[in-house]
Amino acid sequence: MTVIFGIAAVLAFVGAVGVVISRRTLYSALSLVGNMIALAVLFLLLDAQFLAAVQIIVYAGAVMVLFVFIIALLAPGAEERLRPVELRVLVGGIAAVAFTVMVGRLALNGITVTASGQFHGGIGPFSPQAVNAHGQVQTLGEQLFTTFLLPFEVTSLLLLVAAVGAVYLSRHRRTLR
Amino acid sequence: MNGLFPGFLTLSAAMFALGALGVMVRRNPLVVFMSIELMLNAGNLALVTYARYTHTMAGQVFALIVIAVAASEVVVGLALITGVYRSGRRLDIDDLSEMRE
Amino acid sequence: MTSVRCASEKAMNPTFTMVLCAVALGLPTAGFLVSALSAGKLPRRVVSFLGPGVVLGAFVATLILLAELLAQPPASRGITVAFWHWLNLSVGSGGGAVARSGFNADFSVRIDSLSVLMMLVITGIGGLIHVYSVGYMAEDPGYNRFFAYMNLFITSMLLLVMSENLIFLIIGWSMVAFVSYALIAFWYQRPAAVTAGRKAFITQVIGDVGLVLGAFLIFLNLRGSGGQLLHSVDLQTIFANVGPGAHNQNGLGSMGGGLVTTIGLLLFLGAAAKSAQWPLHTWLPDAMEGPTPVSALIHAATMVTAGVYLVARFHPIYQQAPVAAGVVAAVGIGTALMAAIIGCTQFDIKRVIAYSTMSQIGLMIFAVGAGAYSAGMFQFFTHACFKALLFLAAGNVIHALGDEQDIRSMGGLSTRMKLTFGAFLVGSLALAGIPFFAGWFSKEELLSSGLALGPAVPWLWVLGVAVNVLTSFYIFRVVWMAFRGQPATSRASTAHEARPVMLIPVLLLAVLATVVGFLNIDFFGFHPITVFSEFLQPVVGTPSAHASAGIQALALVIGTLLSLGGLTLVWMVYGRRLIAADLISRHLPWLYQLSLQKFYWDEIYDVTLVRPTVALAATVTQVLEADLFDELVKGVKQGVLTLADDLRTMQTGFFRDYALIFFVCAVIGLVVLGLRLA
Repeated sequence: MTVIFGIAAVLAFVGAVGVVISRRTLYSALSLVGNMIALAVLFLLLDAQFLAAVQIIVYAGAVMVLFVFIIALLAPGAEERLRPVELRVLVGGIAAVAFTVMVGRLALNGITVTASGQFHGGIGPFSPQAVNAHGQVQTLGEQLFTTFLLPFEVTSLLLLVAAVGAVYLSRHRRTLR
Repeated sequence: MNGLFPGFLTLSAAMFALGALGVMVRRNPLVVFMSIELMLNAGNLALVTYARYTHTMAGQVFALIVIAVAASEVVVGLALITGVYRSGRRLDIDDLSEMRE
Repeated sequence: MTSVRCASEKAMNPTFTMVLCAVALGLPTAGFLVSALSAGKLPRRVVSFLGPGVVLGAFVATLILLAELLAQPPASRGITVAFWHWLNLSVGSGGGAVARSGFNADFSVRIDSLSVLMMLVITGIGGLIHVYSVGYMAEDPGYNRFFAYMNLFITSMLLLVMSENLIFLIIGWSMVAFVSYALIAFWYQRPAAVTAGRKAFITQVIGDVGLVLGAFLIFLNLRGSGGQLLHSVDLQTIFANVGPGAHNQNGLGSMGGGLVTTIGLLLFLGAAAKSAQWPLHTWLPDAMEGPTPVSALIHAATMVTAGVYLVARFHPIYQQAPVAAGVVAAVGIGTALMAAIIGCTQFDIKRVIAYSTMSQIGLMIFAVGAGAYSAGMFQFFTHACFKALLFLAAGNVIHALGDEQDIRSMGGLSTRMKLTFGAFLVGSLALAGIPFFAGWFSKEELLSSGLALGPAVPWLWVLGVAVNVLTSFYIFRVVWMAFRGQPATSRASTAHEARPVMLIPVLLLAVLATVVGFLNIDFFGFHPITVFSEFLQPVVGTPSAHASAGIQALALVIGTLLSLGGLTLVWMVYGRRLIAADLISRHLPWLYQLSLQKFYWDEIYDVTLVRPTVALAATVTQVLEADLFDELVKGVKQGVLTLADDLRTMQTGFFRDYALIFFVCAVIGLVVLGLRLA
């Protein structure tokens, strides 16, 4: 299990790095697909099988296909090379490293775990065994339509607004202004 | 298995930091969008990790909602980029600086 | 003292006394409020009755108080009436010494012979002057305002002399200064009047500082019989614990101690400002810019004598401080001589009388400084009568000549204004100390007391006699120049007598100036009539020493002869012209100039105080204001602009820059938070 985590984590990291440093947009997109597949594997490791499936289907499938389609449509050329000495790269890189180190440090002996390794606020009833016994999708669906019904409905409204917005933005006209 | 908890979180932080770096240094709006997706995914990973280790369901539910929000964001964002491109401008985020004083 | 109070409170009816005090204080206050708040809407006829009426009502109340006081045996003449308790900060719950150690400033008044004497003069003479004002101010547009101020002055002055505690005494003290300012500057369209008002007020404030500091020192150092700090502002408590009979634990009980001397000098600073004594005397002549009734009431009869009252009231302190008392006496006699010399050369009739006032008050201050309190107050009493008379008679002349005050423009008025001339002459005779007029009795008593008492050495008496000669000279010079000879102007030749409303108070005062002297005949070594000094005795005691009868008689004869000599001199100079009027100015030009230019005090103050202050202010304006503060403000402005210009470049409009800044800041926050927690 640790080995699988290691491989998936490395792939996800490499994919993420690839998104940021690829000069060609298409390579970035492909790196993102790789990252997402590795992420799906990590979700499986975390006993979130339904989310892993959704990750593959919605992200790696639908969203990334949309990205690639747009890339193909707009055909952007290669960006000019990033100069490594540029100040923003330096500052941003230092901040990014500091962020990662800080979160890792806090995760090791941090704010969410007590000295004895217990989580603040205790452990909930949804252990992986209980969830699997009840059914993964069933449990998620029950939660989604009972406890989290309002966020779910708001999300559906957001999707509707996004669809209308996309149609409005894509209609034919000369200028955006 | 428990020992991997910091590993998941650190990976999530690293992905988030890389996504943020991408937003900050890249000038292609498409890449910026992909970096934002990367940050959202990093957040998802953290949510699911916590859900798994605290034996709760809220993390997974919110990860699901985030995926939906990300999908709608991509739809609107890509429509915007298409619109900008169709208005005849280069795909360079530094050209979109109407907020400058 | 305390035992006297206890006895007196049984003897005099406190409630009745309280009602009388309330009437005396309340009527002028009510008159002021009605006149002031009606904002000129009140008809003049109403004000003409209201203004003098309230003062005369207060006078009646004072007379009843006097009768009540005289009905008591001398030892129990004195009562303290507390109107209400105020600022009661007593600590401890028990009575006696513990409760007394707390602080309170009750509004209470003291009725004893000294305060009743002052009240008589304030309301009596004041009432006559109010009646006179009805005629004098008849054509003035500010008629109601004038009576409002005058009534307020009576209230303030009564508060000053009646107050039983330092705080209300100081309040009254400052209120009279304010009203004095308001009345000097009454004709606010005249720049000279406004300037004079300001000058008077500023000088008064300098004196107030001294008085308040002195009061603080008393408050901080007064100790009771147990050695505990009393923290009292009650005058009787203060006097009971100061002075020869008091225990010696406090700095106030020691004879000639530095503390009590300092207090005496500080109090005298206040007295000097109020009474126009050197070095704070320059405001009084300028104060003649005010209406003549104001000069008579405030700047002759009452307010300027508040300094004399203060020293007499605080005599237990001055008895402990011979040095301070000596300074008081020396300043008094010095001012008296200086003012008399100046008076000889002035041509403005009111200014001559003003310098005469300064000189006469100098004599009173000399007397109270030398310890002759009764003599000083007697001089105050007679002076109030004849000086008010002189001012009002002069006011008649000024009114008749259409506001002409220069005696060189007068002349020959004695035939046209017979009654006024007679009144002015009576006043002059009284002022000059011609026998059997009021001033003669008081002044000779004063000088012979001064001869015997305190630090006085014979040369002080010599100075006093010199003052007398000069007084006689300058006042009869005015009489001759204004009333005798030929009219100098057409106005002077057509002048006519004043209206009855202005004449009757003058004549009444003339009668007073003739008779009040007989209240006290006490300078022959024997004393046939001592009504006045017996009246004051319970408060100020009797003089501790008398010069021998022979010396007194000699002094009397010399003094009287010299006063008559001054009169004769005037007759020879201005009447017979046996001596040229410009004798002094030709042969001793420096002396003449010194007198004409009022000893150059205004110029000295101008050079030493006013100009350096103005120069300092100008420098501060230039250096601090323009060069420092303005530049500082400009610098701040420039700095903000520069900073804004620099910071503006941060607003690149590039989305990436904002994201970078946001992220870096968030990471910094996270690092700070993480380092604190981990």
